[in-house]
Amino acid sequence: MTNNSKLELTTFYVDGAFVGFDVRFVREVLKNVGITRVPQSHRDITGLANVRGQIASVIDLGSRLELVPRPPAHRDIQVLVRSRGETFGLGVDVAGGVVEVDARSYESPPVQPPKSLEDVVLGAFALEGELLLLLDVEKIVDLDMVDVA
Amino acid sequence: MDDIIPEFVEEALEGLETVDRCLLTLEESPDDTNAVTEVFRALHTIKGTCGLLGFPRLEHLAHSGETLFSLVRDGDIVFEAAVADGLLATVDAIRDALDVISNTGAEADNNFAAEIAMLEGLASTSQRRLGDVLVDEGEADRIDVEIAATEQQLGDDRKIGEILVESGTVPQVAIDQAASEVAAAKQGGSGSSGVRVDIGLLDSLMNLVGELVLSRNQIGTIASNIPALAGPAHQLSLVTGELQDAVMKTRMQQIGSIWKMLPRVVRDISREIGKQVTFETRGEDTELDRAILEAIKDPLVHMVRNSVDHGIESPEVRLAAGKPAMGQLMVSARHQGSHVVIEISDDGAGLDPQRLMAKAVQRGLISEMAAATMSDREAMRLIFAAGFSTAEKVSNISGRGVGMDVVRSNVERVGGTIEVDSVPGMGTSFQLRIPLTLAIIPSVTIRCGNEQYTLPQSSTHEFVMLDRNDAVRRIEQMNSVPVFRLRERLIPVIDLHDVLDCPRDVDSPNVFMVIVESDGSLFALVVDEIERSEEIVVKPLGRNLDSIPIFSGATTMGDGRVSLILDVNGIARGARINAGMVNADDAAAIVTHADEGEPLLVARLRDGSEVAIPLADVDRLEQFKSTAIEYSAGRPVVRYRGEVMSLVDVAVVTGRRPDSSDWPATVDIVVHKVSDGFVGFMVSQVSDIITDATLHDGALGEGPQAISGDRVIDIIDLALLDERLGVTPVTPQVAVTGGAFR
Repeated sequence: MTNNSKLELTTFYVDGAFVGFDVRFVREVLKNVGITRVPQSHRDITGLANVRGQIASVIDLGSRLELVPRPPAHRDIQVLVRSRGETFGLGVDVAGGVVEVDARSYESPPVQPPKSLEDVVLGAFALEGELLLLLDVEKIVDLDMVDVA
Repeated sequence: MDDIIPEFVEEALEGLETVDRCLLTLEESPDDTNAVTEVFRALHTIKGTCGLLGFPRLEHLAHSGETLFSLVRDGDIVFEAAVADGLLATVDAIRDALDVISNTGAEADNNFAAEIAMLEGLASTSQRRLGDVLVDEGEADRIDVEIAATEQQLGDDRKIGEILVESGTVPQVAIDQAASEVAAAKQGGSGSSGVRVDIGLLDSLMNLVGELVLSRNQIGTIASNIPALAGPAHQLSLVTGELQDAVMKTRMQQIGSIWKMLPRVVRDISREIGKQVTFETRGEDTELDRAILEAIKDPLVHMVRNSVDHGIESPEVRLAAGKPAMGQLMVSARHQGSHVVIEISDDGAGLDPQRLMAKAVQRGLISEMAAATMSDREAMRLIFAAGFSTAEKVSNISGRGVGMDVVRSNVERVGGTIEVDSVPGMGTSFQLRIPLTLAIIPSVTIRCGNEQYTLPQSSTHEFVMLDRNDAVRRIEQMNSVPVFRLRERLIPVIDLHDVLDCPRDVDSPNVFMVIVESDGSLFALVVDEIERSEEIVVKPLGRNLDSIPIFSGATTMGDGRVSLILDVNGIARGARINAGMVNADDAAAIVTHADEGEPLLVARLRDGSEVAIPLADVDRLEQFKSTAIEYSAGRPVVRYRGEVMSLVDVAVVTGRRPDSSDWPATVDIVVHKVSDGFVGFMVSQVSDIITDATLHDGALGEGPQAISGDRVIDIIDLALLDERLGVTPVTPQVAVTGGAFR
């Protein structure tokens, strides 16, 4: 049981926020990939990237979390995650390394995140003065299509 | 008893329908255990009830069918074409027998000897195979096998192998080995030359080969500068090409799998609606990519249904028309280059262009003007228009909300085309051209601003290069829709920069137009550059992007970037809404040469624009001083030939100028004779008479247009204007003097 309570998170910084994903979802981290803009797409989508012949849609994590005013920025680092057979890139600013947290210390965020984040934040961990938000990959990559710009 | 029989017949017919359906399912996916169970249950029920009601011959037939099928259920024989055919034939024979029972209350004399022999033959081939193998391998004696087979026939329901093992004649291991050999022989035809491969694996192989093709192309470019690389690069190119062909072949399936379902479809419909049809299929060994085959299956079935339902006439009508009562329907497939051509032809009533046009006008699909100038060929294409259905009596066969427009869009979705040809009274023929494969398609890369996009070559017609400065002049505005004239056709123009929201490359000296086709009409896409044509691998956009109508997918380019594949149908639809175009089909499609040479009078109006009036409508041309214009009941009139003639200001009634004051010193009047006098149409100046114009139905806004040289001119229909305005002078007044007339 003690082993199961350990949770490994791959962490990143985006627009000043400290976020992490369950390490099992993260496939790799890419730097400086060419991104093709997609006209008429959802406002959170930066474009499409070629990952060894697979086409990944790239979502700006900052924009998705509504941390910055839109439109989405071009970020140097793309976190590749996989959901239901499809590869997605999530644009972030800085990679923060893998952090091990105790799932039992998981708490509802002491500082209330913006309302918009409630759906995509699974929980928060207080780490040496920093608040690490654990994000729900499945929900992050599923954009609300009603919202199409 | 009398009550039971109709009930039995009905129940049995229902059961047979289930069998039909399940057998078709099994042909597609032989492992569908549900279908197997259902077939078995239906046959079993029929057999049982026949026994109860005392129809021994039918009972025997159903039993033989059941026996054969139990071998399928137990995996003793593979459900292959011969077995399917045998079972379908059985179903038909049972149906016929039920007909007789339903009509006479008793069984026919037929003892179904032929059918039963065939079924037993099919069943015994498989049984003998396992025995044969055992005998051949020296594991069993012929006599033991035959004893086991006899035991089976006497009602032992164990498998032949089980009997042999349990009687201690043959070791289990030998049976297993023999059984696997039998299975391999059935699946692959012989020995171990065939393996089953998951289709997902083939798809990913295809994808990888596609990537390899792209890499090869890149290396080829680099290698052309490095002599030492030339040899290996050439070799790589050859091998990649062969690999691509080989992988493509693994995805190929014979069209026969569709052809096989059709006879039943034809027979069922013709029975239901009382038509007589002989049906023929050709080219069943023609191969297509399985994804494409899947995509065209339903359209083909639908078209065959249509042909029987609407194409072929009832026997009485045919006989009355001097044709044999039996109609002919044929579907064929053949290779033609990188396409497969599928033809569906009947010798039925054919399409009546007049009726099609009348229907289209009635449904508001085209204007009367368009109908009047339409060729028969264009009229026939109307059946592919959305919202068109010629069935006067909607039967439950074709009236399922699926029209030929759906068929067409399904065919176009896989990059195919569909054409129709028909001779009234003689028959109709549909021709489909389908690409062999979807996965790798030839495409054209275009540049818009500094972005690259890809267009499937199948949707492009031609390319036009214009000088950037000249482009402004060449793209005309017609009712605020930009149009481009290409060899006497007016083609709506869509600026891709607007659609894609990207900046124009004003530095390049040229603009390009890609002429594309959507829903049977042409339109032009404005781009900055046509870069190159190349083969691409189409990839899906993913769940967040695949709802964007203007893209059909994406591909990876030589430089490693992703390029979006444009969907011209989606772009056309989007542009139509934005530009407020009511029906762009008409705008692009219907330029006619039928009225070519009709002389037109061209007149300039006060706002500088020009209109054209058919010379046939013009009785005289007169010139008046503007001071001669008087007003009667607020309307301008002028004294003319001893009468008072009403004047119509063309600039005002066509909405070009709001008021009628401000006339030049002299005005030209086009005099038009109506039943009870004259009406004068005021223009500023008659400028020309042209005979070289082509008429164009201006469905983009209202009224027809003439195209002459560089000009697009609105045509004024005087009779129509006159009627609409009601300006005909009803009571000619007495003219006092003739002073104003010059």
